[in-house]
Formats: sequence, structure tokens, C-alpha cells
Amino acid sequence: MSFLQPFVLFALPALLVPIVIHLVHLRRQRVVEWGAMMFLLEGARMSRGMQRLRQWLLLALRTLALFGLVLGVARPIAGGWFGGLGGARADEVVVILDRSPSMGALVPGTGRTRLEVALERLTETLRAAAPRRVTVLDGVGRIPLPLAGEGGLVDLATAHVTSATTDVPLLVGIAAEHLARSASGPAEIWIASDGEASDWRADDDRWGGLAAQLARAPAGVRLRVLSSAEPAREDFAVRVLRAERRTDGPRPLLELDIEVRSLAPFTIADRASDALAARRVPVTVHLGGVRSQIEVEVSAAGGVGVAMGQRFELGPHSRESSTTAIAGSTSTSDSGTVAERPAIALAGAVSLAPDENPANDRAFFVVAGEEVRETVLVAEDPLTREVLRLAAEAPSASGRTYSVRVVEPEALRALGAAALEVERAALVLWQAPLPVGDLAEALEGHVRGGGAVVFWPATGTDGSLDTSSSAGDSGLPATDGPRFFGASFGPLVAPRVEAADGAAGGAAGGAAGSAADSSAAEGGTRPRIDADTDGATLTSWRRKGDLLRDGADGTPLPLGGLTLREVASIDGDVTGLATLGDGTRVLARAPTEAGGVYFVGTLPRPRSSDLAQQGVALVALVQRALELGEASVAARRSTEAGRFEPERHGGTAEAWQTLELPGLEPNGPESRGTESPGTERPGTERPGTERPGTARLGAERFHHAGVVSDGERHVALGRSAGEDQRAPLDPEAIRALLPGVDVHVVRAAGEARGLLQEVWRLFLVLLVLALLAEAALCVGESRREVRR
Amino acid sequence: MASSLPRRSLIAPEDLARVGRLELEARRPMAGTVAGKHKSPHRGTSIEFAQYREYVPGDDLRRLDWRVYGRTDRFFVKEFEADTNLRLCLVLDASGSMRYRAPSAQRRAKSRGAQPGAEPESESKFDLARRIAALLAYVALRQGDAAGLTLAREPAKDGALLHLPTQRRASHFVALERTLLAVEPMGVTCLAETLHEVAERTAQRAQVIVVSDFFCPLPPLEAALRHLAFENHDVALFQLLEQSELDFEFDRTTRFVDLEGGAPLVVEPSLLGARYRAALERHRAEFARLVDSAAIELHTALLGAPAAEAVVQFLLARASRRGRR
Repeated sequence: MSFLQPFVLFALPALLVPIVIHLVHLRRQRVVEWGAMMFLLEGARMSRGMQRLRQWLLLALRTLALFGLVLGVARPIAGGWFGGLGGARADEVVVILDRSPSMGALVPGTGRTRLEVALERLTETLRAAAPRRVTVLDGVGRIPLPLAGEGGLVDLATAHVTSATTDVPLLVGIAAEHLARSASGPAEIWIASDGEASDWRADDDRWGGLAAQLARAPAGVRLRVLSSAEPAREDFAVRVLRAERRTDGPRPLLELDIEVRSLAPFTIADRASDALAARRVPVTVHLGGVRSQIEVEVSAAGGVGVAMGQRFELGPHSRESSTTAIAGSTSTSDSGTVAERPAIALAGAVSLAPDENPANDRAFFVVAGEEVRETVLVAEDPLTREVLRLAAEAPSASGRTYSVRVVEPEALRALGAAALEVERAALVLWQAPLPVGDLAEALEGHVRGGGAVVFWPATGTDGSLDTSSSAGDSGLPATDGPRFFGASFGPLVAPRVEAADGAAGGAAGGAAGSAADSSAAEGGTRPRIDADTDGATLTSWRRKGDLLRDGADGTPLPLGGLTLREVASIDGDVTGLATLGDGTRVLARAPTEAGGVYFVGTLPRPRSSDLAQQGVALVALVQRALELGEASVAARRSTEAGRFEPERHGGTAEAWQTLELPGLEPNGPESRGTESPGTERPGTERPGTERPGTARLGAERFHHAGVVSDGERHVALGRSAGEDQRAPLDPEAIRALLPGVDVHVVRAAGEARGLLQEVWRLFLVLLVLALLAEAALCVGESRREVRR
Repeated sequence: MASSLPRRSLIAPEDLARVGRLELEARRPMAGTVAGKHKSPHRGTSIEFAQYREYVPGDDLRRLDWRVYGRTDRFFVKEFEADTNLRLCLVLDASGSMRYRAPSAQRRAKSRGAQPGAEPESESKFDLARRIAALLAYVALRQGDAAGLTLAREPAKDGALLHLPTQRRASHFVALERTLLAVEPMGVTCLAETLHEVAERTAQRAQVIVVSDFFCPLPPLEAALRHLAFENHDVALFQLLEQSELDFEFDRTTRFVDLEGGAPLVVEPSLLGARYRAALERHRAEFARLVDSAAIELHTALLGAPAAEAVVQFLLARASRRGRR
């Protein structure tokens, strides 16, 4: 048995006290010369044995009580042979470390972070509990590794806070699987965490399966949570909401939207003084080795302050890098010559003065050297190609450059998805048979990343596009090819029209004012025939939101006068955004979780429609699709730490390195707890590998805030939005996540030893029982005497 | 009758005052050769009528009761009591247990080094027994009766005199007193054996007064008392007790030292008290039954009370039985 306060055991010699008192008491008995001995002897003859027994019992009980008191105060903990009585010793312990930014908060009065304090306490607890095996697991490596060495947890390479959110249910699942494979006896999972909701994900469905998995463990698995979540008195977090390059005439500018959030509750005094009281928080902007400072006003009411449109001049301190053209793709300019890819990668950071949590006092951003809205255009019809190119190049905002990269079908056939290079594109315009194979995967990836794709009907087989015999290479099937996002086109045919009775009236989406007003017959499905155009017109379109929305001033797009001579039906589970009178969808959107996938059921060539002649609607449609796809561009320039996938951005993990920003120390005073991911420390055994440090260093690198670059591309890594919310789960909520599992939550940071099964209560019970028995022996006879 | 006797330290003036002119009466007719005030078992010419007896040839015709003849047509003669002197045999239990004093007195004696018996509240049972015996002997000798003393004790090396035969001389009181003062109680109780000796030794009927706590096995004592009664002795018992022996109110572990030399006993009073009291009560009840069945008077004297109280009670009880106050 071990003791948490072993120095108290020095009081054990005090056990001699009752014995000495007992002996002295015997010596100091009252002596009475007695004459009626015969009666005394008669009574003593019957009770002599009981009397001796009682004396010894009293001595034993008093000694036992003192023994229980001393041991109880020494706080014994269960272990070894003592297991099962006051608590069982675990055969194996898996320690899960929550290395999320919130664990970088300083514990009041210690000067150390929550993670550091937790590791120290856990180390002491491990020494006392002495399980047979200790395994460490964290959200970076996600591999249970045996703990070796004398240093314990504090010397681990993983004993540092990262900027990534911890996926606690994932780690618990990994730990459970590890124990199922390896543990032969009672096992425990210890989690060092502050219980933040962003890490624990209480609504995650995985908890249900975990509870069942842990409950089924034959030898039993207990969960111990060391939850240290003392609220900080002052904790501000900074985040860059938007970073964009602008131009003001000839001057390049950087425009930032900066958010500062207070994670510590404002004091009552702050609130009471003025409901609109605010604190002005200084924010330092690090840009090209130069520091600028602004102030962000954080209101007491909401605890959030945003500085919008903060502009900084870019000049000599702008940082650029060059790129190379990729074969098969072109970027056209007014001169028609191939131009080099525009310069990119301006990286910087914003930081706060050190407070109680340095881990959220810094944020990084990356902006392109020049804001380029790139469109990838695949079109088999030359006229369509030209029209769409013009529409995509039309500038709609100042300070931005619009480029269109036309990909020839031959390039697709030759290079496949590599020819697309959709990683840099915001929008893909696809007028060709729907993609399959790697092309489809590339486009799906583009959409998942927030990009937009607008499909136009294929114009039919021209030999080069009919690749039914080579579908496996280029993925361009026949016109009756597969679906994309569950939708496909029908054949491009003339729309079915009927004679109109000249019915007038407002169309569901039409507007009056032109010779070709859009209108819908009452009843809504009878198109109007225009004798001049001899085509169908739109009878309805969605005006509120999406690509055909009204303008900012409420003016609708002039779609009522649009004539459609060739329409391809859009089949599948799509949402119609514009329809003909017979209900044929001309514009539809496929359901996606991110980005946008649109199907346009006509072509902007004269024989198909007068989209090109009209122009406005087409340009609006394309530009709005381009704006929608910009989210993916921006997303590619920043991502959550821990979620960066180098392969998605192109290249291998080794190619991506942390960029050192001039004037900003990677491990400066603002970043305590987020040490450089390049330091090797002993303490963990690594799986066999030729380069034992590289893989782990790579994984660490992508879990820390900063800017990573492969030389061409730059991505800013930062905290998730959830890390800037303080919502710790209370112990009851944590226990409720795993019903049927023995979950023990130790809330206070100073009581990590509570993870062990303290058995001082047993000794307290022993003490009380001993005293009660002693009292019963002493008082019982007295009561009988009184009654007599 | 002796009118004045030398008064020594064993008899307190107040005790003597309380006794006053009370006389020691015998409950049974005494067998003595000297004419005294006590009834003789023999029929004689005393003026005191004793009983009627049917006439047998040879009786003195002057003793015929003609009134009875007139009533019954039958001849009866009167018999008269013969008066003689009383012989008082005092038997004192001088065993070690008679040294018992109240625990408070023991503590005071230890702390102040006071002489035992120097104060009434610190006297032992034997001190009280001495006073009672001295008072009884004084009364007997004062009224012209004889008094003797026997001490029930193991013979010891101190050579103390354990027996003084009965004598009528007034000066015999001095010897009695001297003997009472000289002897120290010690040893185990041998009361029954002593009473047997007294029964054997005392040839003529006498008044035997036994002063003891009677904390001894009852069967031998009963046999001894019955022996005395068989010999027609007039037996009276004075049982001396101390309140602490009856209450046994000790509140903590106590080492009881046997006054008769036995091994000490450490006792937890809370454990033993009830049993002790029960044993004592059983003994007292049995003793009471014993003396009652033997028609023996029993008087109880508590330590701390004046010796005269018990003696006066005894004398009054005897006098009332005789009808003289």
C-alpha cells in the first residue's frame, strides 16, 4: 500500500500511548483492603475470563482506533495486494492527453499550464498506483505508445499543448480497442482534459458504441477523468476572420477582419459599471517583419470584439513566391499569350499580449499575392467555350483579377485529373459529358473543398469526347453517361411549346418591362410563344437567393426575355432554380454539404439560347458561382490545425514545412505551451521505422498554429472556432456519456491523486467502529449499573 | 450487684449513658449455682409460678392447686421458677476480615497516617466489635453476672490471649478490656470451629453472644450454632457490616486486597458489581433463614454507628420479651 502523506506515518509510535496508559492504569489502580472477599471471588469466578477479555478488547480497540486515525490521515491508496478491498490495482493504464489549446491555460498560483500540471499529477499518481503497463495516447499521433523511462509523462515529446482540437471519443475508442487486444486484467483509461465541449463532443454518436464496448470488456475498464477547468480571470483569444489583398489605386493593401473574444467572464464590477462597458484590447499585427498595433474593443455584454476592414499597406514587406505553369493548362490574358501564374503567399500573424492562456493569443493568416479568381473551363463546344470564358473573366469587383484556365479535352484525355488542377480554382465550368473516374473524384474533391461546378449539356459526340472505349483513362463517357451528385442531363432538344392565349400576369418569377416579358399563364405551366424567337421562355426562377437572385437593389435578372431553343432536361434529385412552363428544369442545384453543383439545361450558344446575347443573366450566374467557389480558395489558404491534409493541397507531408515569419519567434513568449515541433524528447518508444522522428515531427507540425508551405503554396493553420468557446462539461455530463461504465471524474486540479482508489475511508470506518465498540464496552455496563 | 466498675477507653461515656440502667436478660433459663436474677431451668421454691403439672404420688401436697381442683375435679401441682445468675460468653470474630474499614477511611488513613480507630468514622469492624463486647461485658458484670471472652482467631505468634473464662468479679472487666485491646484481628475466619469449642467447653447453660460479620461459609456456621443451641445456650448474634460492602459502589478498576491474607483481586466493578451484590444477598438471605430456623436473635450493626445503639436494641428486645421496661 502506498500513502499520499507518508510523513504522517511517523506518528505510528503514538500507538504505544494507549498501551502505556493501559499499563500505567493497571499500576495506578485504587487499592482497597477488603473483607468480603468470598463474595468478590464468587462473582469474579464467573466473570474473570470476561473481565480479562474486556480489558484486552479495550486495549485493542483503543490501539486500533489510533492506528486507523494515523493511517487514514496518511491517505493510503489502493494497490498491490490491497486491491479489491479499498480499490483494485489496474493491470494497464492508458493515459489520454488532451492537448487542445484550452489546456494551455495557466493554472492560477502555479505558473504552469493545465497540461503541465495534469502531467505532473498523473506522474505522481502513476508512481503510487504502479500499474504493470502504462500507455500514452494523444490526438496527434493517435497511436497508443508504451511509456518508458523514469521521467514519466512530463518528459514526453507529446507533453505540449497544440492548436488542434482533441477528438476525445476517437481517442477513447482507440484506447478501448488497444485494451481489448492487450489487457489481460483490470484496466483503466485516464483522461487528462479540461472537459471542454469542443473536445468531448457530447452529441457525437460514437459515445453510444464506446459505452457498449467498454462495458463488454471482460476484465473491466474504468475511466478516470482528471478535469482541471478553473476559469481564467483574463483570457482573450484572437482570430483572423478575413485576410484579403486589396488595391487602393496603385497601392497594394492588406485588409484584415480581426476578432478578439474574451473567454473569461467579465467581472460583475465591469458589467455593473456600464452595460456597454468595453475593454480595448491591443492587437499586434506581424507582417513582413514589421509590427503594427491596433486596438479591438471587446464589449462586456457579449465578450466579443471585431475590427473590420483593418488595412495595412503592402510594400517592400510583401512576400511573394513564384510558381510554374502546368502543362496542358493555359491562363489567357488580353494578348492571348500564356502568362505565368500570379505571385502568391503573403503570410503574417496577429497576436495579443500574454495572458492566462498563451495558446490562443496568436493567429496566422495567408493571403495570395494577388487575389485571383480562377475558373477552370472545360468546353467541347467552341462557341460555348468562348462565351463562358468571357463571362468568367468579367471583373465584378475591384482589386481582384479574374483568370480562366481552359483545359482542352485532349489534355484531359492525356493527363486525366492532373490536367484540371482544381486545387487553385474557385469555379469549374464543365460543358462536356459528365465526368467519371478520377475526373469525377477531382471534381468531387473540389466541391467538398467549397468550390463550385456548373455543368452544361454536352453537345454530342465529336469523336474526341466520346470515350466510351477509353472511359477508363480519361473518364469521358458518352452523352448518356452516369450521374454526378445524383443528377444528369437528358438529350438537348427543342423545348415543347404550346400556343399561348396571350395570358398575362405575373409569373412566379417574371418581371414586366420588356418586349419579351416573362409571364406565366394563370395556372402557371403554359409557356408563351414568342413568334420572333420561336423558343420557350422561363416561367419561373428563384429570385431570393442562389445564382438567379435579384440584385442588391431588388431588381430581378432579366430572365423573362430569355429564349431557349434547346433544352436538356435535368434528371435526378436536384432543386430546380429555374423552370419552363411545362416544369422542365433549366437550372438546378444538386444537394451538397459544401460548395455548389449546378446544372444548366441549355447552352449559351445562339442555336440553343440567347444567354450570350442577353449577357447579363449569364455573367451574373457565372460570377455568382465564382463567388460561391471562393470559399474553397480561402479555405485552402487556412485550415484548422490537426485537419491539414497535405495530399489534398498537393504534395507529401514531408514537402510541407513550417514557415518562419520574420520578426515573429516561433516559440516566443506568446506561445508558451506550443513548442517547436522539432524537438526530440525521450520517453516514448516509437514503432519501428527508418526515420523514427520524421513521421511524428510531421504530424506535430500540422497540429500547431503557424504557416506551412511547400514552397509554392502556403496554408495558415489555426485553432477551430470551438476552441474559443468556454463550455466545459460538468462531471455528471461526462458520466452520462458512458452509461454503464465506471467513470470517476476528479474535478479539482489539485486532486489528481483522486484518480487512484483512496482507501482512507476504510480506515475512517475502522476508527469509528473501534471507537463505537470501545464506547459500547465502557458505557453498556455503566447503563446496567444505573438501571440497577 | 456490682455498683461501679472501672470504665476504660473501650466504652464511650455516651454509650454508657445510653445503656443506662438496662439489664442483660437471658432468654432461656440459666443454669447457675449462684442465686441471681435469672431464671434457672430447675424448678425450685421461687415465688414465680412456672407451670401446672398433674399430681403424682409423692408430690408435696402443699403445692396442690385447690382452685384448679375445684374447677376440674382433677389434682394439679404448681411448679415455680428457680432464679440463678447469668453467664455471658462473648465470642468475637478476630479474623483478618474484621479489620475492614470503609474505603474512605482507608484513604484518609493512608494520606494522613492516622491511627486506625482513632476516629469513629475510621474504626474497623473489630473496633466496633470490641466496643459492643466491652459494653455487654460491662452490663453483665455490673448486674452481678459473669462474663467471659473468646476470640475466634488463628493462634498467632503474637501470643495474644484468645480466651478469658467467665467470672463475676468486677475487676474481671479490666482483664476483658485489656484482652480486647491487645488482640489484633488476623488470619482466616475460624468462627465455626471456635463456636464448637465454646459449646463443648461451656459446661453450663450460658448466654453466648457472637460478634462477627459472619462472612464465612454457612453450613459449618449453622452446625456450630446448632451445637450451641443443642447445649441449651442462649445465643445471640451481632452482625457487623459496612455500607460499602453492601453497596459495592466502586467506579473504576480496583485492586481488592484480601484482609485474611488471600491473593489480591483486580476487579472491574462495572463487570463484577452485580454479581457481588447478588452473592452477598444470597448469603444474607440464607444466613437470615439459618438464624430464624434456629430461633437465634440476630442484630445488625453498621460501621460508623455508635456501639451502644446495637447493644441497647438488644437489651431492650430482651427486656420486652420478659415484660420488664
